[in-house]
Amino acid sequence: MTVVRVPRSLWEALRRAHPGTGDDALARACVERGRRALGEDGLRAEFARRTAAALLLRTELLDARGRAREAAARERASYERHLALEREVVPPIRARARELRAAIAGAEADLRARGLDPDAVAPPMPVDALSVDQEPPRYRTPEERRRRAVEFFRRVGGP
Amino acid sequence: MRFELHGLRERLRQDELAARMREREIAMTEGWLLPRLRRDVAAYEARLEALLAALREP
Repeated sequence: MTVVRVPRSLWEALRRAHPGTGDDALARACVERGRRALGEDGLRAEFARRTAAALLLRTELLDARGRAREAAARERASYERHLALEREVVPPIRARARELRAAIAGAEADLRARGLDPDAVAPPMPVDALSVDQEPPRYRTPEERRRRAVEFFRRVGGP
Repeated sequence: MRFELHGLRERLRQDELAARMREREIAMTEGWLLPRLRRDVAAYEARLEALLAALREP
């Protein structure tokens, strides 16, 4: 036996719409109407709808898998490039700059010891030269990192 | 399928965000930091060369 629950307000509205029809007859009429609506055509339509929805979902899934693979490859490539820059490209240039600054300081001291002015015999140091003597700063929060980056670029005028 | 789709979309969003942020840093390093460092190194080399030449003079 199938039990169908109907909200009281709806049942009252049904009774008002069909005065003179008893509760049992009204319930049988409702169930019969529902069966017709979900008859062979109804089920076929429902099956088609669900099949289409499943196919659509499968297409979306395949598409998302492809895009996820591309995004993962792009993320991996950016990670490797960033790592290579930070480990293999920037540090040797910084080290070379440090080495040159130390050699310049030594040569300037020697010239001054001879009573000569280094600035009179050599082109000047860049006034906005980047600092290469310090280790890269460590930040506690992303906000601090962002704030320090903005301050830095305001100070040196770039990029 | 819905669950997997949700997980994929979330991972896609995170990967794209991480790649975008890192690519911005790479662009900054390649387009700004490296040229500035190379310019500084060239200036240091020029100054050092002139200082050493002055020191070599009798």
